[in-house]
Amino acid sequence: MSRKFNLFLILTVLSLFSCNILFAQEITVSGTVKDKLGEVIPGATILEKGTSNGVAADLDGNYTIAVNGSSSVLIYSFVGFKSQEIEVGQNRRIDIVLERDIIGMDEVVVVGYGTQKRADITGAIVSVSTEVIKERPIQNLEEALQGQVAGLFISSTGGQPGAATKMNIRGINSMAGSSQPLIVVDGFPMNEVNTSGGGAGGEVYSAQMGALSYINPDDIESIEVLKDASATAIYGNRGANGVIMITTKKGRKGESGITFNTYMGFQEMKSRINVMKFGDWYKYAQLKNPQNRLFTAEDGTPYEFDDPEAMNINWQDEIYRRGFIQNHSLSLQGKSDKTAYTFSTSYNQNKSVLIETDFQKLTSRLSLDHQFSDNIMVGANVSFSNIVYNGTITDGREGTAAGVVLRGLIASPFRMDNNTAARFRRAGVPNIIIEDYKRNSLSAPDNVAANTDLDKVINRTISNFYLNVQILDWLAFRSTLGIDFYNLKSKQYYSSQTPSGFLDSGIALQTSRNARSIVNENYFTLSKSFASHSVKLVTGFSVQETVSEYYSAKSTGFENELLGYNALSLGTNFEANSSVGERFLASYLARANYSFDDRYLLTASYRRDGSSIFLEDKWGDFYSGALAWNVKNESFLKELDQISALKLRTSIGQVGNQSVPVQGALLDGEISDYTFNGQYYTGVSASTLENKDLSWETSQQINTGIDLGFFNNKLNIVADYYITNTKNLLLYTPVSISTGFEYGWFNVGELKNTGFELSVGYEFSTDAGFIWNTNLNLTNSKNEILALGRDGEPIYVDVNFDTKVVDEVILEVGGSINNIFGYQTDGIYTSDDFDLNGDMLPGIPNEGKGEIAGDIKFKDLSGPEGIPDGFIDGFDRTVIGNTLPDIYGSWSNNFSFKGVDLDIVLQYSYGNDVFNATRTRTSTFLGGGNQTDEWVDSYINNPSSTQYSRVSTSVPSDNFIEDGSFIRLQTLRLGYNLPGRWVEKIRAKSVKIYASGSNLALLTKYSGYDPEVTTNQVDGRYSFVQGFDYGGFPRAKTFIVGANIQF
Amino acid sequence: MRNIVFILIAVLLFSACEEQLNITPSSQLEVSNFFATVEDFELAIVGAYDAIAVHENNRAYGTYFKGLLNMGRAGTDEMYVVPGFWDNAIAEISNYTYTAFSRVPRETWVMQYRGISRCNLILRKISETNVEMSAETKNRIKGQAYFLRAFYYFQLVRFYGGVPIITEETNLNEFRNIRSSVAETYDRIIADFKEAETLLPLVIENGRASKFAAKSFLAKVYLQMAGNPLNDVNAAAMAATYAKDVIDNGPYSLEEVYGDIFELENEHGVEYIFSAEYIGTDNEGGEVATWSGVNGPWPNTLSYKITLAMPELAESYQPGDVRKDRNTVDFRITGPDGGTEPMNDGLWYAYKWRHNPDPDQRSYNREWQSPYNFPLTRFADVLLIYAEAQCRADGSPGTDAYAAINRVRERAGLEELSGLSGPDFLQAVLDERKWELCFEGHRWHDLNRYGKLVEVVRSSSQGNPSAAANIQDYHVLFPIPAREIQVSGGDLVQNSGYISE
Repeated sequence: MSRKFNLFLILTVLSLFSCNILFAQEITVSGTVKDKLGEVIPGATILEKGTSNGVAADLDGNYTIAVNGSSSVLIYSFVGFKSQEIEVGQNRRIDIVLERDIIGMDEVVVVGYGTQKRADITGAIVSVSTEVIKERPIQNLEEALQGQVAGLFISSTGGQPGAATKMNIRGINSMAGSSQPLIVVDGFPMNEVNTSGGGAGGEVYSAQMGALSYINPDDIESIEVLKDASATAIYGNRGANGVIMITTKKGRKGESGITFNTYMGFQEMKSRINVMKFGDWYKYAQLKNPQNRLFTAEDGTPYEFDDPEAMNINWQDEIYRRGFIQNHSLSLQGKSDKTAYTFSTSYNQNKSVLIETDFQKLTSRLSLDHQFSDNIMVGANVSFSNIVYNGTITDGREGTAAGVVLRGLIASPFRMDNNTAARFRRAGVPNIIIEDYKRNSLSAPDNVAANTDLDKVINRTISNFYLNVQILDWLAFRSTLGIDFYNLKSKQYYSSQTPSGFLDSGIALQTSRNARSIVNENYFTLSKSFASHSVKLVTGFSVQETVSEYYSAKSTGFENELLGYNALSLGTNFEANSSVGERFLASYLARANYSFDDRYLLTASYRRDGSSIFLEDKWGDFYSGALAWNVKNESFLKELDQISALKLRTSIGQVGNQSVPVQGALLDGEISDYTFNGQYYTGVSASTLENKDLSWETSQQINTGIDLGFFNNKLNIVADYYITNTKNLLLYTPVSISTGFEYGWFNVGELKNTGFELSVGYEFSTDAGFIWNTNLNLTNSKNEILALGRDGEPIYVDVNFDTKVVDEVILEVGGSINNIFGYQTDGIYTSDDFDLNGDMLPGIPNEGKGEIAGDIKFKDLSGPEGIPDGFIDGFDRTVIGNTLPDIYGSWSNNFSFKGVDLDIVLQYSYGNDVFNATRTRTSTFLGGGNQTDEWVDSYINNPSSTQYSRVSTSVPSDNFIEDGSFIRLQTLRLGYNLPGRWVEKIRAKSVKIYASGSNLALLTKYSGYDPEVTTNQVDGRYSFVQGFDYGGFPRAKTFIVGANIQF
Repeated sequence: MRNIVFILIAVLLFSACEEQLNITPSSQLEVSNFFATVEDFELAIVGAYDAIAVHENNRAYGTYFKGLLNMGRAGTDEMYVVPGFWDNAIAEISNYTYTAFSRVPRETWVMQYRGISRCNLILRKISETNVEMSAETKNRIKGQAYFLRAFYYFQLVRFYGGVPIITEETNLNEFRNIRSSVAETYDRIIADFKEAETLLPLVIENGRASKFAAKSFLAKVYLQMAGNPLNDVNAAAMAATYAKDVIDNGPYSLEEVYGDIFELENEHGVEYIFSAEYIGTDNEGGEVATWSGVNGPWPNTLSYKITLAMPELAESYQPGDVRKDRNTVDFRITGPDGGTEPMNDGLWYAYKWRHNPDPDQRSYNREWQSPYNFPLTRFADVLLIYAEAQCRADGSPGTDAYAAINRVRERAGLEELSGLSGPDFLQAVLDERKWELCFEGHRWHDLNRYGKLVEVVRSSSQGNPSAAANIQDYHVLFPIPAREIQVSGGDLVQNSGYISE
């Protein structure tokens, strides 16, 4: 059906746009466009200078263009090549050889409120090659950006399709709210939307969607990452976390055509964590709990099973399957003399490796630019996306809300089906016990997955309109209007046959989030050059209003569960909630660029932002200044051929972050009910602490960098060093509970981030046409808390998993926000530590809990007097790990030869620790269920041995800290451009077929599924918490084959 | 020129936008503007009660919905929690593996202080209010706030020892979280209950605090002071005085049939004085009948079967005691008609409250929407308080003490006690309290008051071997939440035996 549909679409659109407008011209020029190796360049643009007259070279690189006369100048250009200008003169045939342009100093870079030539940039801005996006199996853009940009750190919250990520640029500059960068799409600052359905159970933690998942990757023309204050200060109170500028494809002059990209493939999740098999596990169960009548008779005799192997089930095999992935996207672009357009649509589906999990996305987009009159341009860009996600509880969580991934490890390794029940009976277990177990066993992972629905539909429509008035040669005015409609519909059902829904006889929940964001920006651009001076000024104002509404309806107590969440009325208890959040932002902005002789560049920017979130202190001022020295353009370097580029940059500035919840500053009331005499009474009480003084975080940033190019830019190096100081940190701070509250929003402390970023690119080519492009980037960053809290006291952060409320993260002056806090282990207690009566020998540090041989031993590091005191207590906790990598980045390679190209992208991280919280449940001997098999030989087969560690505690200790360093084969892609003669047969311009794999290999010491995971914790109040893996959804290997066809 | 005009208009519009920076939240109640009417005060009082009973998320671990429901009874010789079945957080209480990081002690601390802060806000607002209200109304509101504040502090002092006493809203910049001594904490409780006693009327409404509820709690508080850890010699006499007042002058008496106490229709009957209140609708149900009870037909089960009676309790009943079969059974229900079959699995179910076996006969249909109240004190408790207090005060039981305990025994079908020595009588009261009040959250405090908690739990290894093995001397108090210690910056001192950092 989908093929027919596409064909129909193509035909319709073609017929609509086939009536080209013809021009009357005087001279006709023709020729071919080739590169230095003699390969033709199909699609190269040939434009008559000063007009909108242009054509594109055909498949053989040939072109024909009619021009006004012999004085006309033709501009030849193509992406990745230096453009050339040639005057027509008397020539009627012009064959041109374009030179490859590696660093692209003439390339235009998108910056806030305008564009700049790469050569004129003074700040730290990285342009991401769209090479990283194309022909890769990705559901959201973040996956493609992982490791690609020095200084941009991205970690997934899970491996489910479209999963939310944590992104930060140049470290985490904020502890609360958000440290996500501001996303600007086609100049429109995007409203950060909430993809959580909220409500009960696991949804809060599972199935969150990535911030960029609504974008069709094939629509992207360019991505710029703005890192320093010089680049981001123009975004004022939202610039502190950096800015990602995304520009979508526009109809280009001189090019018209259709692009069809399609791929299909599959996914695998083969890795397994070794848990006990039934044969070992039932013995473990007998040892652990002799009261359990399923394994031990009333008189204490353990049952024996005749063929435990046959009863065993590895739940991991039951919940992971082969996934399926497909993507089809179509785009048309073209122009008439005054109008350029792009239309695109795409469909993406991923049936995930985890059962009951499926992701589908539809997008469409229309972009129009129209020359309304000589000096007025208008345009619109309207995009729509629809995501349908069907999922289940995946991540960790305690008790009844535990996710499928964790249950896949800890569920008892057998299924009480008829065969198994018969074996239990044969072993002597009374039938009533077996029946009882059957009735009570709802927590089998496949059962939870099948009977828990976390489904959501996301619709987002973004419309941008602009009006550009060229008032004078040097003065332009631009007014834009952006409207973003976002709707999330979350539908959840926890059947009575699941642990979550059992108590309530089924829980159904429908929630809806609607967000509407409208932004209007108006600014003037003045540009003037005289003699060697060149000046550009941007100034204007912006208003943005965001209204978000939340509504939820919940129903429980179902007698008939067939219709699930679609029929809330079948339940018997109802609950409805709604809330509205409003934000308003008003801003003035200005930026000046000045350059002298293309050698000395100066940028200054200023923004004044007023935000409705804060009660008293609404207005903030943000600014930056930057200097760059283009040394290459100095006379002493101009002639030196080896060095093709050399620029020194430095910037300083102040930017802000306003990411706190709307009610952050208010003393808020909540409903609290009670009953008297069998009657329901409504009550009201305070639910939050008020803080009238709450205000911005301000971040002061210094950046220095160097851009270097050698040998005609075949080798280029970009290096940057930065220092960022964030003051007035916003933190949802723990307060003494005896105040009646647990947390409050405060501006506390100061945080310093420093880092070094390096990116090295090299192009190697031979005359035979072999090209190897390689790019290595690395980032080293660290952070230090300079001041904290009201008394400088450490703040302990509870990452919140398991039944324990344990503070795994410590924030203290002089420490890093990525520090993990806990005990150091010191092996286990052995018989040498005890006397003959079993009493502990004097001088052996202990907790006084009656430790026995085999118990885990913690190091006695300190005491109330600051010296070891023989007791293991709170004073002995220390920093036991750090989740921030020493170095991370990627190494990408592109090889091409005669139409074949090969991409190999390795992503790496070194020196980061992961808190493997999964092991607090799978490897601690706590509670029931299955465990990892590491104790089989000692504990189970030899219970009197003291050579095992009982690890009877999940208190944070280095026992759970693991080295999370890794090297990942992120992408392996092989593409082949079919030869022209084949392509012609189907009347295409080009056909490329490719095979691509992602996450094919992972080299790591980490014992869990994947070290690069940050399980969603709590409600995101502590955005800096990363590197905690609590039953995180494992990442799959993906293989696809596809084709990219251009007509 | 047209362009310029357009631009100027836009600039003018923009300056108007700055007004919009002052947004009044549309969906949030601002408490600062609250307390403008008598009704607001009434709403706030409901909120102050709410901390006893809420069921939401983690908070339920600190209320009589879930966590607090089982503190005071699980992990004693009357009840235990089946480990590893549903919820480790509850099992930890029963087997003494909880730590300063555990959910239940933490949330219990949270919820008591949440209740206290709500009372503090009401008491301040009413002291400075301009709202016109009668003295009677004002007394009623203040009386309930004082009662509840005392009640929450009484919970705290029994579970945690001396705690920080907060009676005003806190200015966080100056706030220090410092523990008062046990005696000081009791002084605050006594003062607040006495205030409540003076202000409260005889009856406001069933379920709300009343004058005699305050007197009953004063008796209860003084009795606890008379035993461990304070051993306040004067307190026993005070307890006896207040209990006697309630017995002689209060509106309460015993239900004639023991089992009738726990029937739904008698929840506001003659015996109840103050309870955590639940109904089966409006999401205000409890889990009182769901945690214990017996197993029954699936899927309309009668119980989570999580908290079970200790075999030691079942076996301790004397022959002829009617309470045994009402409180402990070893069968399960086979169907809606209430038929039973023996389980033979060695388990004893706590049968005091249980769902109606026939789902059609229930006014609620979610398992946790159990409409049963949880009694915090009832008349039989006051009788036994009197018996114990009088004996503690005078060293030997007097006639009235015998009369009080024998009223309870008579209903149970046991013969009258007489001629016991002081210590024997006190032991008899302790046993009587167990048989009469089991699963009602008193046992842990009773054993503690008698200084017998550790000894008794250690010797109850038949039903709860892990508790017997794990309990240590320091378990007479729960740990203050570790986080609270940490946030206090060294001001707050942890109970001995617990690691808090």
